[in-house]
Amino acid sequence: MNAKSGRRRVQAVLKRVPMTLFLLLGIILVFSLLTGPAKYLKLSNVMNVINQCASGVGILALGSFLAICSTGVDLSLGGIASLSGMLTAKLLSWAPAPIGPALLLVLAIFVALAAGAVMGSLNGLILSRTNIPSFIITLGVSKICETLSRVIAGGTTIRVNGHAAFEFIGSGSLLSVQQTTMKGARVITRSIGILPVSVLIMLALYVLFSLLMRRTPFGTYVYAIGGNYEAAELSGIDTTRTRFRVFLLGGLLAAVTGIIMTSRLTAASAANGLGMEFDGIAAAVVGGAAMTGGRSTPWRTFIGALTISVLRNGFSMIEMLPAMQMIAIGLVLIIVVAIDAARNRR
Amino acid sequence: MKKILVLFVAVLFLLSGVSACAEEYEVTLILKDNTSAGWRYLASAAIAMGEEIGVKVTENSPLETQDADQQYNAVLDAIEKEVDAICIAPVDSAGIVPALTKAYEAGIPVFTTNTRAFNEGDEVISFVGVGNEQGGYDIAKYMFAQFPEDETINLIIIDGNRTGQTTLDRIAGIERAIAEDGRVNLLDSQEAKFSRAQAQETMENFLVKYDDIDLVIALNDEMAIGSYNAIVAAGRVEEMLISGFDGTPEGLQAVLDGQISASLNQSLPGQGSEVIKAVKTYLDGGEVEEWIVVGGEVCTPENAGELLTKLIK
Repeated sequence: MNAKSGRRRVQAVLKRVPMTLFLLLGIILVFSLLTGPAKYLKLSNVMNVINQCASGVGILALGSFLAICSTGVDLSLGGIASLSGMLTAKLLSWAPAPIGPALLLVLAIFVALAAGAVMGSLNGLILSRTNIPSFIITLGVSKICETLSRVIAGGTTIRVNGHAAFEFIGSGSLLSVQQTTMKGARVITRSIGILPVSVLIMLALYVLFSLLMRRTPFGTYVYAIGGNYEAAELSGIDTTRTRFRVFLLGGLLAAVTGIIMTSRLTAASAANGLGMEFDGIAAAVVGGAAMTGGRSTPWRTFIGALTISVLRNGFSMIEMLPAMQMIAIGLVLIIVVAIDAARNRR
Repeated sequence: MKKILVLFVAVLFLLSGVSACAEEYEVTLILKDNTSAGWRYLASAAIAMGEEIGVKVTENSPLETQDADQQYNAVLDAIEKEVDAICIAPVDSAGIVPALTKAYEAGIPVFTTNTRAFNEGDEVISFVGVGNEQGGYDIAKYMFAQFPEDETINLIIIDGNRTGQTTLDRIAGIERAIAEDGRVNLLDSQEAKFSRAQAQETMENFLVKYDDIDLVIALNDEMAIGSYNAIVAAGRVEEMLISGFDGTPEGLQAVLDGQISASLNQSLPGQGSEVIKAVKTYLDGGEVEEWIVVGGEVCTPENAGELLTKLIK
């Protein structure tokens, strides 16, 4: 009898742990066996994956999660990231600048975030005034952003030269350790950032959004809308305003991604960020979000984003053909959703 | 669920192609995409040369064209794999620099092929490719010479991708030739991202917009053929000449068939094999040139057949 209730308790706990976490650990295990744990799990590669996550899908996925959770979908995130990244580069490469470098940096970041907010609001505004589905609206806004980005770029890459404070956002770290490796007879010492600024920004945003979803009326409203739109509306929730805020926040998150991306590459081209919205959706779905809305959490989305980054890095470590990588990522996506659906039916 | 996981692991093993590596050196080759023919010629020549001289060449190019971020990640992944050298044709000559600096700090030599990185310094051991500025100049000069001396030449340029150094250099060369010639009237130019489909669309628009076009200079063969298709569809083949760039088999065949007038031999397979040779020489402790010149001759109906046999053999 005891054993039975014990097992039930274990099952109950297991059910609360996101399945994706097991999947992620499983994938890491497979990759470390294939690559050799010493190479795959060494500090520099672990930081490499987390960094790739923070400057790629990591932050943007939060925006995808919010949109999906409130029964929408946001296809403009990549476009907004491109536009914001481009604005940052354009302002920072302003020469001769009429203001000092520190002020210019503040201005550039402000303008980039403002652009994200404006584009996000545009999504929200059209959504609240019309019956057009969100994927159509955001697709249109995405194209607007892409075009603006191309126009600002004037068809080339905008380089940001020698702006140390700005580069620190995407490549800097608050704390570094030395890693020594042998390369034949040579000893190579590299400094590995273990508290990268971009990763800290990403984690801070996840903490913030986790609180926002759990502790504020806004979070409750989002889940309510996703759970049952009509019921939410009938119970007096201002659905229009909530969905407007969802897309506004999405725009801001995409803008942060754009800024970090530009900082990491120290250059912006209009093509940067385009298509990233699909990685964001994949991350949210792998994290457990249902396209019908109302499910998953920011931290689950984080695991989803990490899974995407681990897959990309792992496939390139095991030297899989790039075309094959897409099959594997597609398979993972379908398997996760299938298992999730099967679990819910039970 | 267990079955699915086991299956997944099995698939991973299969796809990864676990192979015994008896070769001496490991090299990661990062080209601009996995979709266009030109890069396949470069990659297969590099891999073949690697097998011949004992270098294990693994390609990790972004799937879609112009994905600078993916290339950046590919460089970082190669650093973590502790490869012996990285060969890259950067999509974004400026954006790739921070990643190349990281490779330099990790003690991994970098070779650029086809396209230079911006302001190449210590990070890059050598560049293998044609002088794109000179190539642009040579092909433009050759094409201008096809027209009578006192005639204005109405020119259309099908541009490549302005974030890459290759495009900027070729355009600079063409502009130098235009300035020298004095007869050329540049009607229009637009980026078509080195894609046949995009060039065809761009050319269709130009054909509607301009009644009098004498010459179309496309920055690669794919775009030249795309433009040719648009011109055929509009029934205006007799009105204008077209030139390409690259000297790919398709391009050379188009020159032989009279679809395009000329191309510039980049020798993409040559870039692939020479860069791997240079890597081997360097890793063995030998000296390599900062710029290893490959190709560079104008392909005309006279020499295209010969170049084509060389490529296909």
